[in-house]
Parts: sequence; structure tokens; C-alpha cells
Amino acid sequence: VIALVLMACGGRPPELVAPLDLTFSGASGEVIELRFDAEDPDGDAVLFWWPEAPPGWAQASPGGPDVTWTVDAAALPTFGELILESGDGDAALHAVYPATFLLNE
Amino acid sequence: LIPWLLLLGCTPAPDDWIEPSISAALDYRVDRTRVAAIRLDPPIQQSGGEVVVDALVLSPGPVAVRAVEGCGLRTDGPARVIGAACFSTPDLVFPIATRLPATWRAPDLSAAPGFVGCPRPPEGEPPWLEPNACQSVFPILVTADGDDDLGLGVVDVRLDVGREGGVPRPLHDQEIALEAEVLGDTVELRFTWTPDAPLFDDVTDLDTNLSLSARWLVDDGVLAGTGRTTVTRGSDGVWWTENALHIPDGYEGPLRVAAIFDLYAEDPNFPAAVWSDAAWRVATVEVSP
Repeated sequence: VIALVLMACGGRPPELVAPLDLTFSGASGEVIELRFDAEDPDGDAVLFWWPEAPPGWAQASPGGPDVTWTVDAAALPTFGELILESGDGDAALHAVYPATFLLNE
Repeated sequence: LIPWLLLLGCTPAPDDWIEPSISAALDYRVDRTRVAAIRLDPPIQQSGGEVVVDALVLSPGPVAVRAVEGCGLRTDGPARVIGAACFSTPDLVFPIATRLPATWRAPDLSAAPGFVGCPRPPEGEPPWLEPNACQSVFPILVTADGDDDLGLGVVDVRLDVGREGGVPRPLHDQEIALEAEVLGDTVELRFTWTPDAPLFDDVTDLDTNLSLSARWLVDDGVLAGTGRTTVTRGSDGVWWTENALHIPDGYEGPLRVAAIFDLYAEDPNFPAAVWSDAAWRVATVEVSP
């Protein structure tokens, strides 16, 4: 019974594929293009959320994998996280990865 | 047996309990009654002093505060009660108010046994703090009734007994600004705090010991920066944070955006102690087709 229920609930969270090291650095004013890749074991679409990202961190679309980072020296270093989300509403599954944003002097 | 198994199957294993981080970031819609923030004035509370309790309560429909209650405070010695668990013991609960903001006079604990006071550490000396000897800690619970649900919020009160040194001022609402600019189906949001006076009269540099974070709640839509954003201090001394709200297709009518500044600072008189404060603003965007 438990195995059936787990399947019905869709049970496995998404996983980050690349990059695996979420330490980012850049010089003030530098514009850095980033792309993230994740996969969901159940085949659901994956959304990428960045709470507490530094100013200048802009996703091409909400929850999308593409980011343009315009490095702002006044706002670094910053510690945030990447939340991967798959599924919908109450059935959503998440995975959290810590992220660090540094300034190249 | 079967319902229990169903619950077990849909509940994450303990290793996957990541809700505190997730809920602050992604659970940002006012889809139920929520006590989104509670603040106390003064931000450091004193035995025998007045405390003003206020809260930001949001709900999809009409909402009313049902009760403001405390729990676990004693007058015969120090209390150290953290969090909401105390409220499951009715004998320990005491009423404070039935509306907000509420003014409450804390009991004078200076004559109670067990307190030895909070002397300020000598200049250059390592911090000295024995919380149980100079503080009573207890929670305040705010309960609000929505149309068909209940909202709850808890904040810990730290009553200093025999404190030496000043106390910080609260954040002033007029220091806080929330600006919104509508660009198509997106609302660009900017939240700023411009201090109009030092937080402590006798402390000029709190920068290294001060941090701010921002939380956001909206009636509907998607927040590009999630419900939790970082707060930055500009070279002009203004603290600011930004977000963008994507309005859902077909939405019509008022759409509320609430922004909350949470402030944490190390007490300059007692370097091991942290005090907190909160300020908020709520804006309404009228969405028409």
C-alpha cells in the first residue's frame, strides 16, 4: 500500500544537474550570462527560484533557467539559495541548494 | 489504518523537511488568513515598561483580531519560554488584548528572586551576558479570524530586568517606502528604508551589527524574486530591495502587495544579544483588462 501511495503522490524531488557548485563571482559592473540545468525523476517541468539573490540577478523569465547577472559591488558578498520546484501547488516538490555570490577585486 | 498510511505516503521523510526555507520563499500568496509579521515597541522590552504590540494581518476576505495573549511569564522568577508550544497549556496563558495595536504594561520583575541584573560590560571587556539572570522570555500569540479560517503568529518577548544602557527606537513607518511601477503585466516593486535618526541615541555605527531582510506577500501572481529578497545598503545610506510581480492572465480588480522589512541587530550594550524589529507597507494595484 505504501509503495502505491508514494507513486500516487509523485514522490521524488528534482535534482540540480549543472552547475553543481553554486559559487559565483564577478567584477563590479561585469555582466555574466548563466544557464542552469536540472532534472525531475518523474519527468515534471522544473522551476528555478533564487531567494535573496543579489541585486542585478535577473532571470529571463520567472522560474526560468537563464540568468543575467550584472555584478553590483555594493551588494556583495551575498549568501542565498537555489530552490528547485517541480509539480503543482500542494503536490509541489522542492530541493534547496546554498549559493554564494562573491566580488572579484 | 488506511488513512494513516495515506498521510504517511504523502508526507516527506524527516530528511526532506525543508519547509522553513521553502515556505518563506515560495508560500507568499494571501490565500488564507495570515499573521504575516508582529512587532513590539520598544524593540527591547523592559520589566515594568509599556509594550505596544502590532501585527500585519492579511486575509483574502474580512479579518478580525480575536486575541493577543501571552504565555509562561512568571512574577516569582525568570521565565524562559520560547515559541508557541506553551499555548497548549491553558493555565499558563494570560490575555493581553483583543485588538491591535495593543498596549500592555509588563510586570515589574525587579524584586523577583533569581534576577541579578544586566550590567553593561566595561569598555573593551568581553561580553558578559547571563540571559536567565537578567531576562524573562515568553511568547505572545496573535490570533485572527478570517472568513472561514484562522491566522496565527508568535513573537518572543524578552523582558530585561535591571538593564543598564539605552534601548533602540522602533522603526518609523514614515521611513519606509514601497514604490510600484506597472509595466504591462508586470509590477516592478522597490522597497526602501531611509533612517531618519540613529536606532540608538548613543551608538553611531551599527552597520557591522545590523542586517535587514525583506519578505513579500501578494494576493495573486508570481514574484520573480520569490517572497524573500536580500536588502542592500546604498552609498547614500538608503537600504533597499526590489522585486517584480507578474500579474496572472485574466486577473481583474485590486491586487495587494505587502512588503515587510525584518531588522536584526546586535545589541551594542550586550554584544551577545540580538534584538529585532519589523516594518511593513501594503500597496494595492488596480488591475483592469
